[in-house]
Amino acid sequence: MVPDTRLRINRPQVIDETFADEAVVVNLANGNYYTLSRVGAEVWQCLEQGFAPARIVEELCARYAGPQAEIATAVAQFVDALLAAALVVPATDTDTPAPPPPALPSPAVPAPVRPAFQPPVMQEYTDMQGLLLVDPVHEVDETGWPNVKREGGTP
Amino acid sequence: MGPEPLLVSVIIPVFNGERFLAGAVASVLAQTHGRLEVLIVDDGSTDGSAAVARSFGARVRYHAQANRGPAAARNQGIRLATGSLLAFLDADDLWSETKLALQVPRLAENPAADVVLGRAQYLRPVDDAGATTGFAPWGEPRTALNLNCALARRQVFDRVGLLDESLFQCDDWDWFMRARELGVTLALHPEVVLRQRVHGGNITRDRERGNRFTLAMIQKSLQRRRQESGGPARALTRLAGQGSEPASVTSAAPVPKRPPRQEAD
Repeated sequence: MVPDTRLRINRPQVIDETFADEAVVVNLANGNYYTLSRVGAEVWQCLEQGFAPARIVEELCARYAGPQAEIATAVAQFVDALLAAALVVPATDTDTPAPPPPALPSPAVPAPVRPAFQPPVMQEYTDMQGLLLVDPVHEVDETGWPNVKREGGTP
Repeated sequence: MGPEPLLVSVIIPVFNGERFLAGAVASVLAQTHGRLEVLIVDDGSTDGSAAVARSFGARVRYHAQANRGPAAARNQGIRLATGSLLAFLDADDLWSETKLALQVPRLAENPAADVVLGRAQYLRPVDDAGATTGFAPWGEPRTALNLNCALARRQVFDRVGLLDESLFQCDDWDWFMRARELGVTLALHPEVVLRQRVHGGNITRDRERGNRFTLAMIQKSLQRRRQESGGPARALTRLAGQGSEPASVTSAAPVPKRPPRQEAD
């Protein structure tokens, strides 16, 4: 993966939500689901903002203490895993452009207080294959449930 | 003369569902299974649901309660049920003609299975000049973690617990996840057993909401599994009929160097 290659989340095939310090990601095409914890969730959020891997490395170097080369290798391997799982794909020219880099990627924490870098982790689960299809949620509101609002008709 | 068929208790929760309740009940009463107990649990309806239920006379048992939500209604039905097999149907859906004829033998033939789960065919409203004139199949039949597609041995609710009444939607999704985490054996089969009406108002909004519920259910399940293991969440066992690929957990991360563990003698 070329460090400056922009990527995008592979929506709508992929759905995701960030909870506390983890991101849960589902690939609706095959029913696999993933948890990206801690640094993995941060990388995911950076990808969502349109940052290329090189930019993500800069972000993580500002947040964590650790050799830049080690962080870059970890990010590259993690992004390759996301690509292999089809959770991210290369962005095209028509995709939303990446935001311009701020003067500082994030408030730079002085080196002595930055936590040690931990590699991003992605865990894949295949035990919901065939089940993770959108089960249309019945309309539920104060007027009744299950509630089909339109008038008339029998199947 | 063969053994007496097992009593199947069918729980139909309803809240202001007068429009389609009669059709739902009729689809249950049309089953060929010899012993049925139909329980309509009315969760405080203010429309004609009660009158519709009572129109079936002694063929159904009607129970009314204050409004507490669909999970509470289902749970009350479970408490009231006397059958050894439990089934469910939402008040605006329909069972296929052969649901119990298919599922009761499947449970009997698979004593290790606690629940059998068939497929749902979704139905979308058909509009004519702004009015719904009927419902038509939408998409291919799907397997879904939906109690309306299931037939369960009663004792599985003792093992897994009742439905979570704090969940106003997807309470059965959550129940199935808890069941799988406990190792409950679910046996899938491909036949359609449910015709499920889908609200046609805003498919995009419903899909987005469904996505959020999907992700929240998975995250809750992962959290429970982490609490149980004290570490990473384990994979759930594959369901019978789900496919031949083994369930797996694959971790993608450069593994940091750790000192070697001391092996026990």
